[in-house]
Amino acid sequence: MGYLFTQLARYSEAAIMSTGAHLAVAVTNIFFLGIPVMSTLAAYTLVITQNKGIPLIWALLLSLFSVLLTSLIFVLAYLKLSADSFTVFTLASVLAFDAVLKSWDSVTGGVLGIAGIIRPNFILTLSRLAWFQFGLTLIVLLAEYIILKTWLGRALLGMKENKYIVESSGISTKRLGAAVIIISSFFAALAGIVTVWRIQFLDPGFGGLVLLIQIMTIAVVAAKPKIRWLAISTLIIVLLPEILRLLNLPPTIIGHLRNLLYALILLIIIRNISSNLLPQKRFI
Amino acid sequence: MDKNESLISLENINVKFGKQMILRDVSLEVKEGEIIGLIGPNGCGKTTLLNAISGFVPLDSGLISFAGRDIMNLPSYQRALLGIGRSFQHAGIFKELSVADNIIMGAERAKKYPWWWMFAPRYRQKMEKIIDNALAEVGLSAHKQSLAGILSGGQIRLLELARLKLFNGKLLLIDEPTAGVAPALREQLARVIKNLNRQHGFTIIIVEHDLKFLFNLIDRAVVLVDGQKHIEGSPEEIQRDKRLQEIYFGSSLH
Repeated sequence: MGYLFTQLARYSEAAIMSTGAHLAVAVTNIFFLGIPVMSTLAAYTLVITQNKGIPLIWALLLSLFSVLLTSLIFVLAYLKLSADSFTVFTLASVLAFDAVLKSWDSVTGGVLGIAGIIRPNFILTLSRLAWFQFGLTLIVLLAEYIILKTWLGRALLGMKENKYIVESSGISTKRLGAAVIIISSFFAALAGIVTVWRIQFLDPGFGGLVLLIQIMTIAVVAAKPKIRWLAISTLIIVLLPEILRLLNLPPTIIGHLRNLLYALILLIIIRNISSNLLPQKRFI
Repeated sequence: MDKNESLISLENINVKFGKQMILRDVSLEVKEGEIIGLIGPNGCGKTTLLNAISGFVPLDSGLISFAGRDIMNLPSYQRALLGIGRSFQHAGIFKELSVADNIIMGAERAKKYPWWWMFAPRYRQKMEKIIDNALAEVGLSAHKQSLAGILSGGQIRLLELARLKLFNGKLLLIDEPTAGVAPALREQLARVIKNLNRQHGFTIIIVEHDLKFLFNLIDRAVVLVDGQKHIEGSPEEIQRDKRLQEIYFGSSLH
C-alpha cells in the first residue's frame, strides 16, 4: 500500500504543479518556464521559516507571499520583454536559482540538505498525506475548470489565437498574462509545499531542470485546454517511468533514462500525432 | 450626443514606421450615425488609420478625440471599453472556439453578466437566446456548435459582424469585409452592415476595395493616397473626380 500511496502523492504533486504550466502553455501559449523556481522557493521558505520556530500557518503564508512577490518580477519581465525573450528569461531564472541554491550552503545545508521536515499533524501518515494531496489536486483542477468555463478562460484561449481581437473586445491582454503567471506561480508553490511534506527532506537538487522537463512534458502532452487531458497526461508522464524500475538499473541511470523517455514521448507527440491534438473539427 | 456633433475627430495624424511615413497629416471628422468609406491603393495607410484609432499603432503626432474625449493616451482595450469596436482584415474571430463561444465573447462583456453566469441556469437561458438571435440574424444558426475555423470566408465575416452587433459601443471600424468572401454572400454582408448602422445605431468607418459594394453603403468617402488624404466627399463626388480616377483607378469608374 505504501508504494500506491507514494504514487498517488507523486501524481497529485505533478498534477498541481502542471496545472499552472497547462494554463500558461497549453491554454494561453505563454512559455512561463519559471515554475520550478516558484515551487522550490515556496518549499525553502516554508522549511527555513519553520526551522526558525515560526508556526506552520505563518510559515505557509510567508511561503506563499514570497512566491507572490517573485511572481511579480516575472510579470514585469512579461510586460517588458517579447514572448521569446520572456521564455529565455524564465529559463535563465531556473538556472540562476539552481546555481544560487547550490552555492549557498549555509542556507540549504549543501549536499546534506535539510532533513527532518515536520508534516502538519493532520497528515502525519503517508496515507493521510496522499489523500490530502489528492483532495488538493481535485480543488486545483476544479479551479482551472472554472477558469476555463468563464470569460477569463475564453479570453485566455482567444489570446493564444489573436491578442488584438481580445484587446478590441475591451480586455487587457497584459493583465491576462500577468494573471496567468501569478496563478501558475501559486499552484507551483502549493505543489512545492506538499512535495516537501512528503519527502521530508530538502536539498539543492529539488526542482531545477529535471522538474522543468517533467512539468513541461505534461503540459505539452496535454496539449488541449481541457482538464481531462491534463489529468491523463500527468498520469502517463508520472507513471510511465515506473516501468524502468522493473529493469533493475542503478538509480543514477534511471534518472537519465526517464528524461530520455520524456524526450521520446515529446518527439512522438510532435512528429506523429500533433495534428490530432489540435482542435477537432466538427461538422453538422 | 447631437447627431451633427463629431463622434470621432482626427487632427493631423502622422504615423511613422521606422523612417517611413505611413500617414501624413490626416484629418477627419465623423459624425454620429454616419458610414464613412476609406479607399485608396494598397499600402496607402487605410488599415494603419484604423489601427491608429483603435490604439494598435502609436501616433508620431496628431490628436484623436472620441465623443469629445482625448483618447490619445488610452491603450487599445480601454478604447474598446469606451465604445470603439473593430473588425480585422484577416477575420477577427476566434477560430479555435465554437461559433457560440465567439458570440458569447461579445455578449458577456456587453451584458455585464457576473463572472459565474455560466453556472447559473437563469443566465445560461438568457445567453442561449442571445446566441440564437445573433446567429439567426446572419443565417449561421446551423453552425452554432461548430468550430468557427471550419466556416467559409463569408460565414466568418458574418460571424464577426454578429459578434460586433453585440458590442456595447458607438463606433465600428470594419476592415475589408468582402476579403475572401464569395460574391453570393456580399449582398448579405452589406445588409448586415446597413442593419448595424440603421437598426443598432453604430457609426461605421469601413475600409473596402470593392467600390461597388462600398458606394452602396456609405454616406461619405475618404480617399487616401500615399498616406495623405487626397479627397473627401459623397460617393457621387468621388466617382466624378477626374484626377482621382487617373491617380487611383487608372481610368474612369464607369
